Amino acid sequence: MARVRGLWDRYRSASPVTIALLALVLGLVVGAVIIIATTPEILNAWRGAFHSWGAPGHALKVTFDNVGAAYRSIVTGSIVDPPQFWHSVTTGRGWTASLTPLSETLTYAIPLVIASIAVGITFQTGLFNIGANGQAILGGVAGVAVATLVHLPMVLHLPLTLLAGIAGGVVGGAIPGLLKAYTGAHEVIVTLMFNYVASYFMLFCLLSTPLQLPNQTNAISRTMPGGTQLAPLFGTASGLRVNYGIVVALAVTVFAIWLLDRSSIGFEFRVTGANPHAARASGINARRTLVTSFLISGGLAGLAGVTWVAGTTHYIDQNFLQGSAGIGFTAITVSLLGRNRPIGIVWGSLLFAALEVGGSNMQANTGIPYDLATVIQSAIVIFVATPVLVKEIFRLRTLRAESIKVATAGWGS
Amino acid sequence: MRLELRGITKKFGSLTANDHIDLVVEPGQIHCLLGENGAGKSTLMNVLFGLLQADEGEILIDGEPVRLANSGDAVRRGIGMVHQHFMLVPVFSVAENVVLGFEPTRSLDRLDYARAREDIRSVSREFGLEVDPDATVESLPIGLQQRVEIIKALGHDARLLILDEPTAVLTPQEADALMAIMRSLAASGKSILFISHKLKEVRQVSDVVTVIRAGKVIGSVPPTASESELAAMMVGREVSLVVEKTVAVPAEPVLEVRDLVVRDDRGLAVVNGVSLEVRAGEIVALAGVQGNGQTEFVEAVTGLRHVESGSVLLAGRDITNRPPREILDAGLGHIPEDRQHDGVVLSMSVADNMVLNTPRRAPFARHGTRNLRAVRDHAETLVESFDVRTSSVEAPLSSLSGGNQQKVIVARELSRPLEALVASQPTRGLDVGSIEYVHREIVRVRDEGHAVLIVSSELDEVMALGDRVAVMFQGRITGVVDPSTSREDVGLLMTGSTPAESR
Amino acid sequence: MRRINRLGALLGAGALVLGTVTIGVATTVSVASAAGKFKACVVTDTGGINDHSFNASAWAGLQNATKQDKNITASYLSSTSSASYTPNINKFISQGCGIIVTVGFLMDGATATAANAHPNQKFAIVDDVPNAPKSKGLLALTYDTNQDAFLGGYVAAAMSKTGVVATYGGADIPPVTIYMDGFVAGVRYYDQHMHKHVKVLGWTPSKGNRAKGQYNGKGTFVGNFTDQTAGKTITSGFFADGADIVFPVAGGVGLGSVAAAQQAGKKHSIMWVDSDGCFAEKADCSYFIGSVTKGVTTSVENAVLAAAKGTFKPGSYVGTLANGGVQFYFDSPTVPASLKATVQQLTKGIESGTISVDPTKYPVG
Repeated sequence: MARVRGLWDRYRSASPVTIALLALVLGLVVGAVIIIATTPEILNAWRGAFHSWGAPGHALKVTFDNVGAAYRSIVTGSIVDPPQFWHSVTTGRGWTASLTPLSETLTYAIPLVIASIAVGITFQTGLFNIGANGQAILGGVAGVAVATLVHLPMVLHLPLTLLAGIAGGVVGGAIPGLLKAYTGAHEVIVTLMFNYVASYFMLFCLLSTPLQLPNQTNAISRTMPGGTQLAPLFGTASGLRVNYGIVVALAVTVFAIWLLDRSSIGFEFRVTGANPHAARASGINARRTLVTSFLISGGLAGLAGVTWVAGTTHYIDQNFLQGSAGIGFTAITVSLLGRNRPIGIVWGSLLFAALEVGGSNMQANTGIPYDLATVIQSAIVIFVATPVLVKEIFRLRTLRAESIKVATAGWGS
Repeated sequence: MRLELRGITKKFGSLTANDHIDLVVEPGQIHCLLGENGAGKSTLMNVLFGLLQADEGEILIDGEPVRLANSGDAVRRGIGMVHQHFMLVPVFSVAENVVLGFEPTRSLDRLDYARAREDIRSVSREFGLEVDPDATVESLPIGLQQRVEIIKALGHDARLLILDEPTAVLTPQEADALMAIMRSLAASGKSILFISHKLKEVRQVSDVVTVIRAGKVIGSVPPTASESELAAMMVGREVSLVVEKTVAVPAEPVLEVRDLVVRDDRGLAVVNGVSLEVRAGEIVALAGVQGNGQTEFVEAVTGLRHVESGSVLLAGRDITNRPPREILDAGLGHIPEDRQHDGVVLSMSVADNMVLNTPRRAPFARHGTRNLRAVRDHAETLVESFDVRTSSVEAPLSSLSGGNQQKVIVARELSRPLEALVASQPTRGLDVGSIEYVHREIVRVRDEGHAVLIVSSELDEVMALGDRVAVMFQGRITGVVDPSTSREDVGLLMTGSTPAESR
Repeated sequence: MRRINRLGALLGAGALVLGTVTIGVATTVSVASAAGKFKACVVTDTGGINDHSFNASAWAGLQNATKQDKNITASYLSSTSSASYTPNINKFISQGCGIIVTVGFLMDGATATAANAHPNQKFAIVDDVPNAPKSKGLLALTYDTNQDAFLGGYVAAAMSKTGVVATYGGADIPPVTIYMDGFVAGVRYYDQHMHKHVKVLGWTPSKGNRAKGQYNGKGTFVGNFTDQTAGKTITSGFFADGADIVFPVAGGVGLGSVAAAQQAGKKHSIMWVDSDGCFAEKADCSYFIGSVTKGVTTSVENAVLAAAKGTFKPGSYVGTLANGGVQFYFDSPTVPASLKATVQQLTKGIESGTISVDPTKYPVG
């Protein structure tokens, strides 16, 4: 009993993890409401629900069937399909089909983890890098350029490709960083606009001779040679796309944990982010901190871009990181979801990647538009951003210190 | 109005902020609520003003139990409140601010300014609250802004006024004027509930003093009780109110400021040719009413503000316009004026705050990687030796009381190798116990042979701590005097006049 | 008691979600496989099925097929990025789709790879000819839209009061520039034969092997197929330079041109692209002078019906004026009958090959 009580108290104490999990639950509830409101079959069932005794039960069943089918598709399409998995375990066959969902989720999560950490580092410094997408594009372009235009043995070529990606992103991060440090230009505007510059620069490169696929007038690049690709973890024959980019993502995560929690420069980032006045009074060089943070962030965003190309398509075209595929934009929300902490970001990325991959599966299986996954993602972020709302809905106890702060805010003393 | 509180209890989770508080304010009485920060004064006032609901207990107004669901209820029942941070619109006129929310109107919803002005004049005349109804609030000195708040409360027919730490922002002269107003209000039958932790003024103006500590009423005493009695009730133990220090033995000059000129953010020369010398082993106290350039002076010395001309030398080394890091490393300790703004990072742990300006120094970091164990050990040692009250060194600084936050800063600054210490308003907002502690530490630094510069707008503090007192007025030093000089003479220097015997 | 209520609220909310998932496990198998039916599937590009352009047209073709043949069911998957082409195609292969339609040149590589890996799977790709030697089931659908664009250019030149017409593209890619190229050819043909000097803004063709799909030249491009504001800005700029008829080749961006025409007043009109403007964008019909269409819907529909019937022929299909795969529609009632008659004659000439749609064959007017 005491243990249950302990768990209960922990639930009610509204830790960030609890809030995030409850936000997920609420996001799914919102998704369910939208499915119900937009599926004619369900609406028809409810329209007839009051005409006969058995009808309400039927309507309920139809509702559960449809919503269930949608969410089941998300789960089976992004993690594992139990019957298929059992089939593989018992017969030893069809492993590709069994593992594809997880492989796809990881494939999508790889660049998202890296890009979100890039954004998270600037957030921790109190800066908004809205330009991670542009930096990722530059990283991708630079990576593809080095991969296709330079000829080297693989041991050198792959690292050089990744480094080129980092360098591309560093350039993209340096511009807003230096502009802010030396002219005071607001980084949100500069980075936001820089995304367009990067997109059009990419288009220019893709339509220029060295990078463009030969005998092509379309905006598409040459394909990266095998030695510069991040190979599938289980070999090309496995049919699973999850690739060695996962090693890059893990390395970035470890690096970010060191940077933010253990390094002196990261400490200065966090002090600057939490209280720039105290940072200045403590002798922290604001300019240097700002520029360094942007360089690291841009470099990682660029790495995210090149990792994405080198691990999946191996070429870039005019749609690279455009529109809803702009991982640099998704990264902003993932970073918020993960509270700008590396481990939180890893979980957030996995969740978003799973919703994305599962959303496609849902669309293929049930015809419910893929966009529902985006709606759920957005709802989760809204709920995470408004913990007060989540606490009210689930009647969580607010943390004691906080409640006192709220109660006495503005009263001085 | 006769106000009675019976058994008011307010809990936040497991913390009991108010524990069965009983209190009676008689009509025409100035009742002082005295207590340390965090004793539960503000919570009680919030309950009384309808901003918080008590878990238990009842509020009686003129013998009748009332329910105050929000501040509007409280205002309707005749309770007025003057917040420590004024709730005024700076760009509005006095009249506009007073009528805000209760605007008198003529036909067609036009504001009736003539009536508003007349109302203000009549209230002003009645209680001696002189203020021009047409002046914009931002153009008024703090003391007059406070009067506007009081007029605003009286304009809503308040019969009980709550004054939350009203003297914290006032000059000694303004504080005296406020006391006079309070007495005149009480004489006309208004009841006043006066919240403070300053013993001197409490004894000066109150009819009854109720002391609360840790959410409980410790007792009610007449104002004739001695300061040390009141302090002991407040803190729960005997405290020393005088700064005990030996005669200073000044040695060579350590901090030398010559002909310093500093401009503020608007480009005005707010420090205009200040020269000052602080010797090893002495405390120089810089006195003055706030806003006479002290803030900018300290910022310039610590490298946070550009020096227009003149120079600053620390132990013979020129630190004029050097980066803050270099000045800190040269051995200048700094306790900033606004500690939460400039001195600490509230969201970070006590341990991290203890190394805020030395994060890269051995043993806290090596080759860019922090040694978290060393940081923690360092913090634990300091928490122990400086008696910082915290649940752990990993607790966020925001969980500490104001006094303990200040102790963290003091501990941090005093634990690094120092030549000189500059402390701005080192005891502002602190309770008696913490003030005593900070003062003792400052004297200890002096006795260890460091130069100490104190900047304070509290005259008592200046006179008690300083071995020499420099007075600043409108960007200049108007005099450097011995702390035995009379308060009146120092007060005159603070207003720019030169007393006869001063040089 | 209160505590129990709160717990109830939590469990209730949790149960709703978990319940839907678990109950779903038992029931959805039937949803996924409609036994015995022919499944037609389309993988759209990132534009999705509502792009007012070829993705929408391809999806419409599938839906038309389901109306013709009740045994056919249609599914679609929108690609979120170029990296999701392959998994989307693979998902449909594993779902047992009878035919998989892919859309656009960008899916060339993914389609070719999948077709080579699954030689017996039927594929149709819109607007592209991939190289898939092992495949026995790939049909490439392409369209000589320079033929009907030629007619559009001729009509625009004839209808222009100012003697200036203009065109612009969504991106500098062959499926777009082929239209602009044909449009310019039509205008130049008009100039040569009517001895006029109608100018074309937005596309200046240069020499290239047009038979091999090299529509070389310099022109005005938005850079995407979604930014209507840019379309409006570009079109207003053309109007300011004297043009009174603009031919946007940029999918939904064209709606920005309509907005510009609306703003500029009566004497400015738009030549619509891909689909019949008065059918696809009914509300804006009065701004269209004509439509240069591409029969994506019909050709996709025919491919799906053939695959369902077992008469599917892989290889390539080229839509022309002759086979009805591309068509020019008149949208404005102000077009004189004589001009319509001329257009019919031109159509015959193009079909027979006596009139070239290569603009570089004509002098610049």
